[in-house]
Amino acid sequence: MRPETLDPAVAAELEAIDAAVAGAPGADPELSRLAADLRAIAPAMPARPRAALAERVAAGFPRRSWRPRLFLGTLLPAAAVAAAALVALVVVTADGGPPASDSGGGGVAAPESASRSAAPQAADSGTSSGSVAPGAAATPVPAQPGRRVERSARVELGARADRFDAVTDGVVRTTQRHGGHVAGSQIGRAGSNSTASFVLRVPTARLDAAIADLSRLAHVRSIEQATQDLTGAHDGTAARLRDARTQRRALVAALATAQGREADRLRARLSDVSARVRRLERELRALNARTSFATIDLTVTAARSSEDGAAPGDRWTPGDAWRDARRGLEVAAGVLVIALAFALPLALLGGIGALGAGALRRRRREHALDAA
Amino acid sequence: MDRRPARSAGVPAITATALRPAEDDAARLTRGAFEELYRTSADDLYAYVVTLVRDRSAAEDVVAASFERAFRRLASYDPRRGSARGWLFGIARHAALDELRRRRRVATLAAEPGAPEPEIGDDPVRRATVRAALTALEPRERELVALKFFAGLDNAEIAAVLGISPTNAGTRLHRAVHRLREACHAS
Repeated sequence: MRPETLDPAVAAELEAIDAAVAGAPGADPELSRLAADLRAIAPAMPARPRAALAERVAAGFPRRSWRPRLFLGTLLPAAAVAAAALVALVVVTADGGPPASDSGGGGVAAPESASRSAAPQAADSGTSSGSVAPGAAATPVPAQPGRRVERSARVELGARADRFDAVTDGVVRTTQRHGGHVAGSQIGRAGSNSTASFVLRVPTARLDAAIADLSRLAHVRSIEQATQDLTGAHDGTAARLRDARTQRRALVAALATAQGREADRLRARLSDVSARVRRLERELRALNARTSFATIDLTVTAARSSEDGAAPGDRWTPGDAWRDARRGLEVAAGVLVIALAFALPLALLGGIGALGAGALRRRRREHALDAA
Repeated sequence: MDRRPARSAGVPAITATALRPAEDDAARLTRGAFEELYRTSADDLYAYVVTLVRDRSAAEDVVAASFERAFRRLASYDPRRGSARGWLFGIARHAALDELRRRRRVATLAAEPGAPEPEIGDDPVRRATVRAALTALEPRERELVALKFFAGLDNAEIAAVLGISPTNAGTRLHRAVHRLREACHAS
């Protein structure tokens, strides 16, 4: 009670009421009589229900039957969490589990599917990847009839430390077997961790088969492929070259009969056209080189406790068991995180709903009293 | 603690106040303290609930349900939030209002057939006047009178039961008693 906010007369009246209710000697007579009258007319509980209630109180209100509230209050939230965990488990396992710690950019592929993932991508005008080795010999072999497509790939292999050398040797042999060559390589060793980088050039028509064979050498961490359609650029360059050659032939024919100043003028023009022809021939050769040979940027990484596991056919070792156990823990942690991600918003919504339901219930109760 | 005397004429409400379990403000309710609470509050609780629901037989069920609900929630009682008696009356209020919602009808106390009239001794006419004046009050005012005069709750406890501030409870109580007295005088 805050008497400082009550009217003094009201506060005094309340004190008088309290005194009358308490039966204080100096209480207001009228209020005391009113209090006594009210107590006298107060309804009394009949004896039988009072005795029955007293028995129940003494017995501790034994439960008559299984209360459904127990189910709703205890098991239902547990069922919701279990359902969220199940959904999380499905999500994690369907996604292939936690990503490898050192995987490259997109296009992660398991070893068994490496050969399938090496299938040729659609030869559309997609993004062009990087490295094309300069100075490659131009052997004009079109990748597809009527089209000029530059193809490239980026492959990451993971190998155990004891198989690193075998894998790198296999890269070179596989490339040569497919009619290609190693345009560049770099090998680094730091203790038991080794890394080898290759720039491979293989005929474009042999790219898919080369990637499939390279993928069998070790565990594939990632494969990316890119294509760029150069048909338009090639055909345009070829057309300009034809025109330039035609113009050159015409100038040569005209020069054969020209004399004096006209011959000088024709010789000057012939010089310009010839230069243009040479430049267009170089451009066409370069385009042919880009489309005839594909570039593979390949990296081999090896470590002592490599997570890449064994290549097909290797034995299962305690190290493999440790890796599998750790993966299981990672999956469990992922499931827990996802389950919480589902459960926490649901719990928040449930809490908000409960608050709203409580407020609505209070309003309805007060309304029931007003209607009584 | 002594058993509270059965309700009869002239029993001062101060008896109920003095018999509140001493453990209320010091610790959570024990089983023994709950039984003591029952003995000291059952009659007052019944009188209060009858005032709300205006049906004796329904009030019996509400009172029983209130005590059972309080027993189930013994662990949730927090003495820092108020007395055990106020806590119990709050539970009973909710149960009574839920009963009103379910019934959606009103049975006046005076019209209930066969309701036993208490022996009132001094002035039956005056007490009948008081009863009629109480019945004629608005439900909320009637409730306030019951909480103060039947249950013997102080203003802070009344405020806790109703979920309002003590100042607001005092103002409403003053208004209710004033109207009750006016109604008695008018009769």
